[in-house]
Amino acid sequence: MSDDFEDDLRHERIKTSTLDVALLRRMLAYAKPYRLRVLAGLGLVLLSASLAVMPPLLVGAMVDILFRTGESLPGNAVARVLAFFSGLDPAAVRAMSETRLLATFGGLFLGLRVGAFFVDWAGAYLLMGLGQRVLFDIRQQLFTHIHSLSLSFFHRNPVGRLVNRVAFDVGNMERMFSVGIVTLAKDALMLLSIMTLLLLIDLKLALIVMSVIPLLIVATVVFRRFSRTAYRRWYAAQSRLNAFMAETIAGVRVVQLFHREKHHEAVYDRAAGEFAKEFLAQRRAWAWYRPLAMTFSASGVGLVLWVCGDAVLRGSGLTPAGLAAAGAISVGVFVSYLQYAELFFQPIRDIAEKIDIVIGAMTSAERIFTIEDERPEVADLPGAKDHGRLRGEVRFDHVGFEYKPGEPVLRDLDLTIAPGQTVALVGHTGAGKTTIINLVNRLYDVTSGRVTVDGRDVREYQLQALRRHIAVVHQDVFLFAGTIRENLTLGDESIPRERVVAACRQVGADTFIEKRPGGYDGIVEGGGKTFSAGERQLLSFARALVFDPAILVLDEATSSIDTHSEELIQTALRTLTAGRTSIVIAHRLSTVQRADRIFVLHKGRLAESGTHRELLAQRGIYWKLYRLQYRDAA
Amino acid sequence: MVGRCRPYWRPYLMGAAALLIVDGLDASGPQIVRWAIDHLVRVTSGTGAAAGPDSPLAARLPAAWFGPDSFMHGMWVYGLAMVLLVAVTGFFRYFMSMGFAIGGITLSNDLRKQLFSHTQKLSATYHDRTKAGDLMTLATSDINALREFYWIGLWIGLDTLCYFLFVPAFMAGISAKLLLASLLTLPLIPFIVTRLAGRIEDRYGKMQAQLDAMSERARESFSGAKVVKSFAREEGEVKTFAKMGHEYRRRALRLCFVEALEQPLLVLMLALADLVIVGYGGVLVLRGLEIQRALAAQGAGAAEIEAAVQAAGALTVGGFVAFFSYLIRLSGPMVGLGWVVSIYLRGRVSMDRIEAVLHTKPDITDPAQPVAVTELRGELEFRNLTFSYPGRKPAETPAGDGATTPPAPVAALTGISLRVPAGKTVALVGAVGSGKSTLLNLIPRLYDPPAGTVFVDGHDVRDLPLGLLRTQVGTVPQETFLFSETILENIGVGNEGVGGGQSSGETSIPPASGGAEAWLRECAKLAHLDEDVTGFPKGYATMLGEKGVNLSGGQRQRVAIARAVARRPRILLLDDCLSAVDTHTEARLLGNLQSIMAGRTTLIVSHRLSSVERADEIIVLHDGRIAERGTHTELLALGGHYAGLWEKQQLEQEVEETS
Repeated sequence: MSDDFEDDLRHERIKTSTLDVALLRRMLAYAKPYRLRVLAGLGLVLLSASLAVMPPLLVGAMVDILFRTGESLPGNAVARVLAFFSGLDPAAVRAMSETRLLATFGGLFLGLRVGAFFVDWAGAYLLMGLGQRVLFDIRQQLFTHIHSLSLSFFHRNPVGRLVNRVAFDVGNMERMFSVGIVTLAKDALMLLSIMTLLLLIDLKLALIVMSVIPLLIVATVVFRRFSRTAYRRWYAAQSRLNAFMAETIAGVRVVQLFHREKHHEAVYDRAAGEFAKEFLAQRRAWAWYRPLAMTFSASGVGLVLWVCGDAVLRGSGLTPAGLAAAGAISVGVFVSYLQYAELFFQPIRDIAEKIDIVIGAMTSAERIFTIEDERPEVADLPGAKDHGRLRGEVRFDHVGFEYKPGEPVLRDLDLTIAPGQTVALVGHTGAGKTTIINLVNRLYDVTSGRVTVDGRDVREYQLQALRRHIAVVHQDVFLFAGTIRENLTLGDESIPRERVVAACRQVGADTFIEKRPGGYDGIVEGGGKTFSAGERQLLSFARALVFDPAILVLDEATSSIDTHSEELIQTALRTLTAGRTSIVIAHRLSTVQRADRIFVLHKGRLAESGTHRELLAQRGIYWKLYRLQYRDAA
Repeated sequence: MVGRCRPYWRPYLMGAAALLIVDGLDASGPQIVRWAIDHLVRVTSGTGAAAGPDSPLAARLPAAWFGPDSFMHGMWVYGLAMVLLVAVTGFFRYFMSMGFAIGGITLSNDLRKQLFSHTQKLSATYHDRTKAGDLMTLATSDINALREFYWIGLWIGLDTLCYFLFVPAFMAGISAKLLLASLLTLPLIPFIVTRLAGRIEDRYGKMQAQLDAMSERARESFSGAKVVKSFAREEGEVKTFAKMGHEYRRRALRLCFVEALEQPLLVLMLALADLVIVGYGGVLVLRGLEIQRALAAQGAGAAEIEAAVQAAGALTVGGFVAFFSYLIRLSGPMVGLGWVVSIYLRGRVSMDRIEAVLHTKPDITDPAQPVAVTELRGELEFRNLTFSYPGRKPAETPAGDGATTPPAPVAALTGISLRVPAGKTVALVGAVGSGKSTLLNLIPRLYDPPAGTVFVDGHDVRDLPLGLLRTQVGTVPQETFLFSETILENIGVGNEGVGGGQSSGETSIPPASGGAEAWLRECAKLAHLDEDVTGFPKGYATMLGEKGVNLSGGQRQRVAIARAVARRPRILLLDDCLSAVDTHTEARLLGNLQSIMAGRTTLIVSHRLSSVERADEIIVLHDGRIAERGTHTELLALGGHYAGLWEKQQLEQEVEETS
């Protein structure tokens, strides 16, 4: 189990050392197109931060001015700063009557709160909106990118994992923009404003209060390291758990038929236990960090009480001149300082908490970028062109191919298919038949030699241009959720309904489609589970026909059709193959018989080729295959 | 919703107890500040310079520590008290954090387990109707939302409640009048919260529904990557997904608008409190200062001054500042309150969705009073069986379709009567959609037949223990589904206790040693799989990829055959199981299957007549009815559909023979 888990960690490409800055920069790059919005948002956040640091100043000023505790002390500093921000002359403020002073302070407080309300609302909405826009971009880009990757990528990555990236991880990364950046920016700006104010009021005292900061930074850095590793392991556990659940749900019929429920529950328990363990490990790091950080910040408040309180008392009974010399301060300054000391550590604590979100987002981002960094193994080469409609001549020129290095599937294969010809590929399981058709439409690239279509290497075509003219009927028919029609056009709205109906009629799929509720607009449920295998096959035939390809590829498509329906298919195939190159992998005799040419593959090499009769006369591999299938009937 | 916590009371109790202590200590912090300020004001304004210790803290300590000549005027006592208070709080904070985290993760894990187990019990009918993606969203997003609620939600919820109890209590200790005046706006808060919460709930639900749709779309799209690529339809997929993404963004922005409003609005509620403290509190302080000065001029002692200030209901400067401190401390919970409400609402939406699944009764379950049998002989009987798939009602005809009469629900099977004596082989032949697979699926109750129609050993399958029925019926389904575990596990799991092993309670992988594995290898040999597997570097321990992607189609089918055989079934159901196997392998497999089938009741569906020819009886199905039945020879003599098919295959054969 732990082996599996370690394996999974590797698989998820969990790194323990990454340059965070590079990762962050890459994440932030998504916000680039919204520069104005970011600036406006940050402007509002700055405003919001400066409004948020005002109250302590006001309280301090009230104590000194209204309660007359610091008329004669250098506590005037508070009044000066207040005057600077409010535009009121300190002397004029001092000269006010008590009632007016009360009204003035009351007004200032009210203004602050109401202002903060609008600024915070607008700022949050602006930045959440930014988050949503970025979210859309990331998700769309990732989705597009995944679809640009080669088939081998989809074989390496379970669908559950990919969906997890697109749904969960992208959402997580978005939180970084909507919650993470808003609060982090606000907290950072608040810190900055408070520091500025503290320094403005009293330099020496400010330095004493801030002496706790290095301790906090060390604690935060250590925590972050722990937390990040814990987060990664947690996410990896989550990913594994989700992939397992997705698979079980997909195979629930088999689970039930084979009475595997208990086994799956046991595996679930292990995966979920791992998940909980990693979650708690991450929480434990946090549970240690938070009290520690709070104690450090309380030391800041303690220092104010001690040092600043002493500074106040030092001034008692002294004359104004002596006060300055003794470095004494007023009660108002003390009050302001005290409140700032409390306020000062709030953003720091907040940052530590919000870093959770950012770390979570970074972990998600890492996983998203891992996919983004995958390069399609099969991609348009420079100079690839759209050469228009194909004639349909296919040639394999000394083609060698291996899925895994050292395990050749095709060896030095040479074959030529003339335009319009129907050829059949015959051979044992694993002889390389499916590989051949995967090379024609470049789902994979050859390892050696070359595949040409119309005399041009397939790599000289734009991938899309090549594939548009080659229709493949795969062994497993895949139906998407959507209407029958959408499944036949694969969502291409430019294909007229008539063409769809005509194609269905040609392959004989119209009868059962029209019998279904909704007809062509009927919904395909649960991956087409409500269709029989034969019906699905007919649908995939119709799908191929709708696209009117120059080259048609049938991959063992006839194998699960009963003889009755196959009659229909055979008729349709005649229409279907007329005027286009067709490559068929079939076990059915009639298909093979009708082929213009049969290629017999054996262990990745072309063993025999010719027409059905010629090959039978050769009494070679083909003859043996043929005898075996019909031995019982003979 | 909170009731679900009861079984997890231990961690929650630890968390809650720690939380009470934490909040209590936390709320007493501003008291230290208050005492310190009052001390300063008294000393500096000369109103109590000579009076010595004046705060409850200082009163308990030697007076010399605070005197004019003491070390730093005794202010270090207040500073140290502050740090100690927070350090002690921190100790309890650890238990508070962990208590709620443990409770939340355990509860949500158990809930997910419940959901997972339950979906496994729901029948194929349910899974036909339900998208796998929807179930996955429940198990991921919705469970996450609930974990948030049972962890942070309960924690912050309780924290907020405690703060609203403790902090005002301390504030009342300073000035009850000012407390009452400043909390005037408090009743407005529940009003605002509930108004906003309704909107948030609604908009969140709509956003989440769109996310579900998108996840499902992505799943479909990635699963069908091969088709998408082959037809060069990537752009179309991206466009469809973008359209859904736009809709998601629209819904998300509508949610953002109210969510962005929530916190600032709640904080605004404090603005009125600010005003009251500044105005009314200011007046109270001024009155207090007057009394202090007047009494100090008369030479009164500190205690006397204190009493007078209290009696007049006036405020000291320290009390005034502490009020602001408390108000700041309340603004956190005020914001937290909105947060808790939104977490709660999300949790409730998620809980509703999960409960909807949990409340779906599995329609195929163990009978209430199962027949007491421990082994089946394998005699099969269908008595006048008519079956249509539940829930597949004819949908409303689309508006544009005109006045075509809606098709009646089509029965998949009609009037099937068939007896298969134990050990015999019956073959099913028929066109696509004629009901062959349906008939097979009814035997292990993948779908439930009507009562009194399907019998095994003379017992209605609905009366047999489900576990027994399913372990003694081996199915090779039409479409092979393998799990991403080892080949051996794929063959062997679910097989425990069947092959004579006494470990009936054992749910994990069968031990790698002993008879179990030998038997599984034996089965693999029968299924003609052994050669292939021993060729793999890791042999039977080879891990399969999702759905067995690293095996060929034929190999997958053979694993499925080995899997069915491994349980030594009394009844074997082969649903066109050789379709992906090439002719060469099929011939050898068929030979082996004969020996597997010997002594077991077998129903075999095949399109290759050569593989059904030897069956004891052959049933030709047409549109869900039995069209023809008999042995191969009888059916040929009958000269019907079967004979026609046979003749055609034969003819093809003969043509070739002569060439």
